[in-house]
Amino acid sequence: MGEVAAQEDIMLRKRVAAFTVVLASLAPCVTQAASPDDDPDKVARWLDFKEGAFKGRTIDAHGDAVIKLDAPARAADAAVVPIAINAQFPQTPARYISKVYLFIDENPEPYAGSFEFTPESGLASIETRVRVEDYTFMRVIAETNDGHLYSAVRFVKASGGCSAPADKDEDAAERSAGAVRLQAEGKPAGGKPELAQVMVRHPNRTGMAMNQVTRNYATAYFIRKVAITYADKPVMTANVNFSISENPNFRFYFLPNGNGELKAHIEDTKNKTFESAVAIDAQSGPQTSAMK
Amino acid sequence: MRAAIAALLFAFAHAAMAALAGMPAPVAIAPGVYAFIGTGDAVAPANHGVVANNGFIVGTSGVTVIDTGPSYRYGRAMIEAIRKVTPLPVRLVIITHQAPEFVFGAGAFRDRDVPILAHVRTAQLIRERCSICLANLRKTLGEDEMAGSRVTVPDRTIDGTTEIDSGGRKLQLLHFGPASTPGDLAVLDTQTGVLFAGSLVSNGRIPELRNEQIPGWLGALENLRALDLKTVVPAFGSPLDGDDIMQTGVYLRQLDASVKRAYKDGVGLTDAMHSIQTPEFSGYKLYAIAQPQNVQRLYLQLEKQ
Repeated sequence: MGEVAAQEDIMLRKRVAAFTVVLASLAPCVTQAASPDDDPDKVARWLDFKEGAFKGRTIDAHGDAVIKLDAPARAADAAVVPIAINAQFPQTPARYISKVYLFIDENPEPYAGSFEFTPESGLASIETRVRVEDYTFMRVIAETNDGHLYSAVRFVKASGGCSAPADKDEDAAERSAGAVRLQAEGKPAGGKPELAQVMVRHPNRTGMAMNQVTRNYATAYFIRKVAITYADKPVMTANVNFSISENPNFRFYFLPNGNGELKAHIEDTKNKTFESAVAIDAQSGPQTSAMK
Repeated sequence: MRAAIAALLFAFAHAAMAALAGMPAPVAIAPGVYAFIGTGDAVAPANHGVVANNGFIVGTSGVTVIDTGPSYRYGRAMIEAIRKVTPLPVRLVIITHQAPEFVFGAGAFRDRDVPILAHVRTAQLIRERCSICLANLRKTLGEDEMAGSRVTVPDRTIDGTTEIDSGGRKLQLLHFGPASTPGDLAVLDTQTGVLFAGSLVSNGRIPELRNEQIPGWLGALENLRALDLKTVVPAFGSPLDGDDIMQTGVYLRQLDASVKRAYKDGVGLTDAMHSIQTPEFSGYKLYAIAQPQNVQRLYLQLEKQ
């Protein structure tokens, strides 16, 4: 782990620890849940983050022409809430979305991470599944190559947990971590954004969930980076945390161009790295890498 | 201390009275068999969480209660309603499965030392998971409605189909293996042929897939259909007879097939949740909420295979 990353990790731990203490002290009281009627522009945790990350830059709150966020209004399983971040125009060297930030107001660590794109991405859309604490606003902020910021916001009511599967064996989950499946979804055609998917078997533990059987808290252990390249050029780089659900799954685009290799490089918080690659022939049918 | 407990009990009794208005009157299904039929909607403050069905069977020496509603208050109201029907004591409570709308009235019966029976897997799930469900219900219905409600783990368990004599009535507790939940029970009153189907059957409402195994569930429905059932009290919706229980199976088959097709075609999860419909059931209760959630659940299972 680099020095900066290590520093960030320590900061994150401190914030999580502080949050856990706050939660514990509030537990017996009735906490005021977020409501869809609240003003999304007045949530304190968001405003703090916004100030820290964007330092007074203007964010166009009606970024519908740039980015849209699709998330279920009511999620049955708070541990797996599917979201789709949909870019509204194709990536071109002249105009493209360079980065998308994901923020979930009520989560213990509201900043879930970022996704970086390039003109070679074809389309700066991404689908994944996230953990959501409680009722919350969820927002994405897209940064375009000219430095403008655009946001989209949704309110999600996540409850559930009633049907959460029985606790699994944490050690077994950890041992089997790292299998990567990378695949192109359709028939790649040159010059047209092609949908691809990467799945990583990984517990992506928050470190905040108690095992109901052992009553212990397993330490946080999660994928922190997913870097996808096509023909050795980056197309999607995710810097994320445990807000991403177990067995992280990302659907993204790239721009195929003749023959090239689609590669995934993945790192977790124990500095384990996982790789996968699939040859793309922009003329023929869908391809899948072997599950390693 | 005693005075405090008495005050507390009085408060609970008072709370129970307050909810009687939202409580359905028991419907006589057959001689000695009564059901409380809930609204079948999603739990909401307007319906006080009175959405699911439950009931009781009056035998020669006592009463057997089947499922207990969403709250302590509801459990108390059940006790009051039963007392208006019979002076006989409640001998046993049977919990058909683990789900929030069925388990939280059990505390009211526990406070009267009534034994509570469930399948061993249901008891385990209640112990492990119901504190989360309880927190969710509190959030939805509010502290007042849920006053006194607590996780009440069944103290008697069975691990397979069992025939019991309860209150002077012969009851078959049917378990067909993991189906809609790992520990489903259906309760058959042998004297009248009335079945309390628990979570296996819903009427006019699509089921919420929470902990299901579809092949096992379909098998359980076939098993039920093969019985000579007079009337079936479903988890939600009006009582049914005979083959009408299969609507739940038809829904499950259609849903399962559609999700498998979409998954095979590479449709993403978000798209699948928007696009997969089971038109025959689109007018059923809970469809708007539960359909995308059910799609998600089956889709993620396919992904794990």
